[in-house]
Amino acid sequence: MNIISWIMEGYNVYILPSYILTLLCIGFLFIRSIYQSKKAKNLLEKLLNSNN
Amino acid sequence: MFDWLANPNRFKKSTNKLEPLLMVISLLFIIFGLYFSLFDSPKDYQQGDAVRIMYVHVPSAWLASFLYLSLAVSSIFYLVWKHPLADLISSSIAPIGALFSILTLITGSLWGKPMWGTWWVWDARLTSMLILFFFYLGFILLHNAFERKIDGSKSASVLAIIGLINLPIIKFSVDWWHTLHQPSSILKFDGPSIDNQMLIPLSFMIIGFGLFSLYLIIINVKTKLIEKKCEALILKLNLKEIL
Repeated sequence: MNIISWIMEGYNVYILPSYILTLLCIGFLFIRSIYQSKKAKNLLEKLLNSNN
Repeated sequence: MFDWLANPNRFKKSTNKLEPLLMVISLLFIIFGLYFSLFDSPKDYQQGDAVRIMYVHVPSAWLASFLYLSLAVSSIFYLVWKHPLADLISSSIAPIGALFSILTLITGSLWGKPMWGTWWVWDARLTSMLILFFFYLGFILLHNAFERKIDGSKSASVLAIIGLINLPIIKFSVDWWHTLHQPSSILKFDGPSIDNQMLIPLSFMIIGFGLFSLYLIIINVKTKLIEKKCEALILKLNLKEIL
């Protein structure tokens, strides 16, 4: 596999943080969106119940 | 199309089926893109394996610019035609675009260190990308700065339109000035100058990131629609109490 030569070339110090950071950012955006969506849905449900 | 989707209920209905589809397709593109870019794409003859940073740097940069264009277009729709969804769309795009622009700067820096020998230079391309990040930041701050939400939306939209001037500067900075940053190798009049073995994983990552951003924007817009509904209900409940 390419991975062995990839690690040996020494650029992994720069490559891995780039990929990890990118994936973490995408994950953060996803979790934040889902959390806010659920929070808003719960609030709406509560308000609808109290309105009735 | 925008006019048709400007109705919040129609927007919700038409995106309900699209939402899971977008998520699955974008994740597949990202997973395959990651595999190809890390394990199954060739080294560059000059840069060696450091070229693999390109597969996260370029999609982030493209998305940061494209999302800003969408944000500005949406702001125009909001200011000129007062579409109810336009402001929600632009405020949903802003945090995603801001994150992609900061990602572009950081991954660019991580690529620049081994290739140029420095983390940062005040090069035209790098500086214009930093300005793009500030425009995103300015939009988010202005949007939330006013007590009356409509004032925040209007002033943020004006700022977004002013920031449009930065997009051609980002794109053509490498042609207009002598920069350390390499010139365009994909969007060129005479076709891309990178090999297909690199272009394919790059395309996978660009499509994956793009679709995933669209998915997030749809979720965020829907959340903001629910929040608006909640605000209206709270107002109604308060009125009931007063009466």
